[in-house]
Amino acid sequence: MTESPQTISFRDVRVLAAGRLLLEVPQLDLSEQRISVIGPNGGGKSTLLQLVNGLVEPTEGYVTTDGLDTVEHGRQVRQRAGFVFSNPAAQLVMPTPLEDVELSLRRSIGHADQRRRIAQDCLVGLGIADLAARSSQELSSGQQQLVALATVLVFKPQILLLDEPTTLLDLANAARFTSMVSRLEDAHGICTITATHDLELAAGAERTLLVEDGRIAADGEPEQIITAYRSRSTA
Amino acid sequence: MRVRRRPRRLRAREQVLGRRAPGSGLLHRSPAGLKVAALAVFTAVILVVREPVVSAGGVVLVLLTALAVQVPLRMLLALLRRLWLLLLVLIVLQMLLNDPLTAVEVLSRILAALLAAQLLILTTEPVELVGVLRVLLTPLKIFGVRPGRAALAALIMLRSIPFLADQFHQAGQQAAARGLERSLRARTVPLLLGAVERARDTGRALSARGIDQV
Amino acid sequence: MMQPQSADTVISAAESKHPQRRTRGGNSAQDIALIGVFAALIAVLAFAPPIPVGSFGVPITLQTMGVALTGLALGPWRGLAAAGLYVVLGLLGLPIFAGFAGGFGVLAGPSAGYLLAFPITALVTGFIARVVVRRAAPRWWVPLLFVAAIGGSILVTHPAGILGMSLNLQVSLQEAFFMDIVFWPGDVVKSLTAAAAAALVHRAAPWILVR
Repeated sequence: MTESPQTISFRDVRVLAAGRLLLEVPQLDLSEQRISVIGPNGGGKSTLLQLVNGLVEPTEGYVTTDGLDTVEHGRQVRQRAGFVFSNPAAQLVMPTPLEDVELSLRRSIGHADQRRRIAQDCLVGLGIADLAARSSQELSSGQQQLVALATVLVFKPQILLLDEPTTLLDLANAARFTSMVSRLEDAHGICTITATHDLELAAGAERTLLVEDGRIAADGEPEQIITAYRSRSTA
Repeated sequence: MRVRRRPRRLRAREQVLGRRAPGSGLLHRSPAGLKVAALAVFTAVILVVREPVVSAGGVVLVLLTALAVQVPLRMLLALLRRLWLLLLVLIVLQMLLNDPLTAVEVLSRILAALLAAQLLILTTEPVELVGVLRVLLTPLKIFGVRPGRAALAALIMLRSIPFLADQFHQAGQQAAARGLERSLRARTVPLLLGAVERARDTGRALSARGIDQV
Repeated sequence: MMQPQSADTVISAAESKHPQRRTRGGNSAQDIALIGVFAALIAVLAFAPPIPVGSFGVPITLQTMGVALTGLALGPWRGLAAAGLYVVLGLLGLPIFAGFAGGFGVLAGPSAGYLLAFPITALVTGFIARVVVRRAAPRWWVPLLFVAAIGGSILVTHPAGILGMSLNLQVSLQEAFFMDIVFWPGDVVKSLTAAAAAALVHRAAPWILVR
């Protein structure tokens, strides 16, 4: 894919909370299909991701996703850019996975039967149809995270924002989650922006951003950025 | 005592809201709303009438009902074991302050009401009660109450209880490891911060999905 | 690039390149999550076994501390909603009161007055706490939040609790008052702890009450 229609633009963005500068991005345009964001905790990775779908609003400046301002058109932007967080348990609220996926559709689809069908298809597509009627509470973190992915994919987003999606998973479940995501990238052309501490995962992207101390400290080829980050962190 | 051998963390999680009486008697199959209504009427009657015969009869009625709908008495009476200190204080106070007949009425009234409620608890899934809450709040729509939001908050509450129980237990262990087992603050602060973080994560995930009611 | 057009935005643009943006205000999903999680917090503290505290190791129960924490952290309205959700679901039959009790049956018990007071306690404590966090300097937060917690307790919880005991145990108000005194020392300890913990939370997570 050479020219992706999904473009995310940051212009003169500053995010302040209680007088403290969380993130400053003077100019940034993202159009690659796979982008990874690395950097220390509290550096602003999460804020950067949340700006893209309007969960965090810029105190100054603006962010557009697909040409839509994330503040003015928050709802539409969030339909296009799905978000998966690191804590799997906190993302699910209903007793069973199927009901949780249906809940995502409540606003967009009026018919309960149709909601159920689409939700079921979505779980089948992710290979977790067997979990549909289980108690969400009793699922493993890995299973919960796949369900969380389903609750977001059911909107058919073009962009997936993944905020340390595998940090709380064990090795096998993390691998299952990442392979599922790369299948979505290949099969449906979904663009992903992944914030992660897993540098191997970060290296699989086309472009890597290093976010540190509330600014983008480096931006470019994954290999180059990761090497620079590694040497700086261990120095 | 197989249950005792389990790791504490799991025990806390299972015990919190998970105890249901096994089986599928009449009460198990009845709609939760009906049981709630029946319990409300029963409680109202013994609260208003306040006659020793009625209150003591209430206790007997609850025990007979338990037998009839196959709820094990052992599970029903487990409540008394959990509340033994309170009950002991009550008995002593009643003997000191009231005449014997009044004491019997007060104690049997409290027992009847608590045990009747226990019958409901032992035969009802927590999620069913969220449905009842939703129905009860519907008439309040005209005052701006939104049942869908209350129901969502209730679902989040149900999911958060086992999580916070774990957090509290861990905070206690960490406090003990630092020799702070008598410091209330060392137990409370991690619990509160855990609750706030959980609420933030849940709120963000819901906002990202555009959900604010069920 | 867009340029600010109106006169007053030009003035603020003098300080920064772009005008401060207006945000959408309250976030209802976030509020609902806070209400649900804090209702759960009250429940967890309610069924925690009594904890020995201080050098004498006097055991105290923690139920009322959950209510204080809820008011202090969430402010009046969300505090009222969280404590209200706890009480209503408990009355409907969720086993979330002390000793895993629940259902309307507790209305016949000695703690009925205390339980029914919780939402109003959270409301009163929350009102005071909101003023404190918005107006007072952070170094005054702990003592002032203590006032908020103990204030809600003295003004609402204890009077309602005394009334409830008097009615349900067939004792005089005076006798109920003396029974209630047992809880006062524990209440001071719990209010102090709640105030310290809440002050910490408002520093660590200012988004909770900033509105």
